Amino acid sequence: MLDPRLALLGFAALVAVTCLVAWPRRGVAARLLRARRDADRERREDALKYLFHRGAEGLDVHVDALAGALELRPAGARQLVERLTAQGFVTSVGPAGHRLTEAGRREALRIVRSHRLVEQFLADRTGVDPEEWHRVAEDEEHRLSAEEVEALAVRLGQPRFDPHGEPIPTATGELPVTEVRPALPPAGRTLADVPLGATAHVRHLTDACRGAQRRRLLDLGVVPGTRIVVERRSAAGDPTAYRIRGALIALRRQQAAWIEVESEGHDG
Amino acid sequence: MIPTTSMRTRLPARDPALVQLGVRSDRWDFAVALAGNPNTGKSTVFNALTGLRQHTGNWPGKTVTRAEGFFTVGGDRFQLVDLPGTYSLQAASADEEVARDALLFGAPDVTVLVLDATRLERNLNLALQVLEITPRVVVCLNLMDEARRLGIGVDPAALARDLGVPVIPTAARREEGVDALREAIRQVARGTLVPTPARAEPFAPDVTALLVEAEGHVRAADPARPNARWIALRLLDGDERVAATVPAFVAQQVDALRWRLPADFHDRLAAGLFAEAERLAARATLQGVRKARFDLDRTLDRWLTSPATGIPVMVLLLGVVFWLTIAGANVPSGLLGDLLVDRGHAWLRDVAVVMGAPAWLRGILVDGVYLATAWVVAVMLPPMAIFFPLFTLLEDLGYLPRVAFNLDAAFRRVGAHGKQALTMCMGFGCNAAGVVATRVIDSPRERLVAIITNNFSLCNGRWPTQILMASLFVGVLAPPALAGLVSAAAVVAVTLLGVAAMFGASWLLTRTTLRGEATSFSLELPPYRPPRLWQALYTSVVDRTLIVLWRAIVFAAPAGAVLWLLSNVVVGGAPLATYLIRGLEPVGVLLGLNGVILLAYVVAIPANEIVIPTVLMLTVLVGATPEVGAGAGVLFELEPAAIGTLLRANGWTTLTAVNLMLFSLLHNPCSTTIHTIWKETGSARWTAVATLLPLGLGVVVCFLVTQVTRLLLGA
Repeated sequence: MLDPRLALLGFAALVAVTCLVAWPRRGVAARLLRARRDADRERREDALKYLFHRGAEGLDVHVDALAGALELRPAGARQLVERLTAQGFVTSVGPAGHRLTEAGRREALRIVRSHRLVEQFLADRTGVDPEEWHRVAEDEEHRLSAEEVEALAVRLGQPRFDPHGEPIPTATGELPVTEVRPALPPAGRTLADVPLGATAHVRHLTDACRGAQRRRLLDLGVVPGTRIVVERRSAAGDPTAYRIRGALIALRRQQAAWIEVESEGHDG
Repeated sequence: MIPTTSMRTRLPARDPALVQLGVRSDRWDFAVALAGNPNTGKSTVFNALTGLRQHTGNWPGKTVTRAEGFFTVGGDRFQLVDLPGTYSLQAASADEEVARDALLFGAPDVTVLVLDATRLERNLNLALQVLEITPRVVVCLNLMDEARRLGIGVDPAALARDLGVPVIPTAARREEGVDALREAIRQVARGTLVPTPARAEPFAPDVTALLVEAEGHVRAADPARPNARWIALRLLDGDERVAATVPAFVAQQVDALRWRLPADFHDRLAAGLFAEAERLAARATLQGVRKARFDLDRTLDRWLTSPATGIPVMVLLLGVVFWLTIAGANVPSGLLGDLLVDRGHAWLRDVAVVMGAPAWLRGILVDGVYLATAWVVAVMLPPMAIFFPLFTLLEDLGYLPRVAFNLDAAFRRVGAHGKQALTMCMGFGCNAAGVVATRVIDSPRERLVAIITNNFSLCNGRWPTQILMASLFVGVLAPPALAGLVSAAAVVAVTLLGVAAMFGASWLLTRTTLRGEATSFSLELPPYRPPRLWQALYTSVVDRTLIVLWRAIVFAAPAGAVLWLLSNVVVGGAPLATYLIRGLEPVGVLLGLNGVILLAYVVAIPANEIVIPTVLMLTVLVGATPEVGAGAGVLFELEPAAIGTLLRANGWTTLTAVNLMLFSLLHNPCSTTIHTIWKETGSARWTAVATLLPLGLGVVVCFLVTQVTRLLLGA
């Protein structure tokens, strides 16, 4: 029979090797995958996006500024601009300024569209944390083909805005100018603060409540003006059962905190 | 009435696409869809209309249960299709998508809309959406008895006037109003009664103007379209499925209008519909009806969900269910075993001998296929036939959502849904049934977690292994007076270990592979309702027990043949099984098990029930005591004491038994469950995770227990 000390040692070694290889984002496997990505395409597209955003503010871009934004050496940035110019996406203005041509603008809008659609997808259809939306979208925008981007748009129901409220450029390369959404009044009391037995009226659902969660609450009748009675707390104190339009619905504290309310006082 | 060929030819041919969708058939004059919110007594209405002339299955390509039934009124034959219960028709979940598509593309002749008279506002929200799609609606105002009990007065005539469709008050549980409902369905189907539904105007003027413009585009392309306004509304809301049904230029025209809509258009749409529902409900509700003073639901909830009594009552109730299952299954299992295994097998052997069947054929069919199948039926059927009806009764009563409510906090901490408590309990009966039961969890991520971790519930098929090992090897370590108690404690410990593994695995999954899956929690606590005994018995036996049993038989039969062949095909002087056992032995020893156990788990993958008989048969085959048993490849069972002697003689120790208990808890699901997981998830990836995760855990746990024990004992 195998010496148990030897067996346990072998097991520990196996666990260590597995962790080293498969650890998310830091493991050998993740690093290899990252290295295989098209770094060149990413740099080109990031440069176009940078020029686009500066251009939207009416600014022309100096090579050094681009180098700083993309964390490139000045020589590398100069090379990049030369290549983009050769492709007809960038044109020089003044002594050292650069801006996008019409073709460059369309190309940049395509990338912005793909970025904002990915963010909208993450917000609407997945449980990925809001802090990670941007980082994931920064990766994905360079990898999606034009067909994949359009398929995503169809799947999401051709959304107009990304989760930050920015308009998503259309497939035809237009960026509709929309009125800025009015800032919502500061967060007041939410349903989570309403004591047991009390009644409250819904003011609105906060922006943090989105996707499937928001649709479900709306379908249950949680809309501005709805009267909600706090009926029961579960044995563990969370979730709480609320009387909403005649039905008894259990919501978790986190969900109740998305529902801003005005109190009415105690119910008989 | 049984349809005949002549009657079938009388009718015009149906659109083949709709026949394929399962909504139309040549055998029926009219197709009727049954729509409604969850918990409106919709299935009771369905049963009241159709009686037992129904069958259940899945919607094509969906893991959404589909019930279909038939009834006749005045010579007309109706097919009734039960749509999934939904709160709305936005197609945001699989259920909603099925219901919406059936109404939109299936175009039923009549749609029966079941409304809960005690929750009119929320139910009318769905009603307004359905009326936008189709005017051919009959409203079934159900639960009138419950409304009376609660002191809620609803005026069906007022509602009918406002909605513009027939409204039939019913109490389907007591069959009240069901005849009138059938008659109204017939009239609408035949066109003798033409509903003229009122349409809600749920918007501010600027939005309404856009809607009118969009509707104009839709109508211009297809003037005959009956629900142009609804189509326009869905296009404005960005509904890609609806967009695919209109010409591309219409979709583009409407798309251009969308930029002029307010950003919170969808919210306003929902609010507008509810405002209208509220107005209609207020007009239909009778004033001056005295509210009931005693509220039974609140009193029950006080006992069943309060911190002091909620958990003890739950433990007691579930304890009774398990006790009834285990204790009650013993006698029928024994009878079935005697009938199918002992007598049936002997009788079939005799028949085969008389018929002069060659020995190998007799071996494969009678000793292999038949015996394994009979064994599975005898052990599996009785506990399931007791457990599932009891569980269904608790479900009907409205108690199970309260269990989810009470336990949600624990499940929330590991990223799961409170309803996983229910599917976990179901898993104690049968993991395959537990996996199907996860359909009650409507959040994608939480449902996957529940499916993948269901196997950690020690199912019925594994209890016998646990009890046998505990009493033979663990109980004997204690003084005789305490032996029973100690072995029971060992089984409970393994069960609790399974629950702990379930929580641990859920935590791990929701933080790693499942982190990005969408999630949404909601849990309705429906009113308590007296359960319907016969309906519970029927649905649980037909929909759960027999389906699972059939799947198990399908998998067990070939396994029986394989087992017999492995034990009887002799190569180089020894049966094939010997070589496999020898090959697996080193791995088995490393895990504190042996080659026989590992081979038994490989061969007995169709059902955990036959693991012990397989172990015994294989042990005799390769072991030192060949005088027991009925021959190579024939499963058998012995008295517990004799099993102990046999296994000890073949080198089993307490460590072997403990590891077998652990491995029985932590190994891959049986093939029936794996197949079910694959069907429910439609994903090879999640099926692989659900299969390999418990197996990997089992290998690691057995390995560590064995090696650490050996280290401590200085072996």
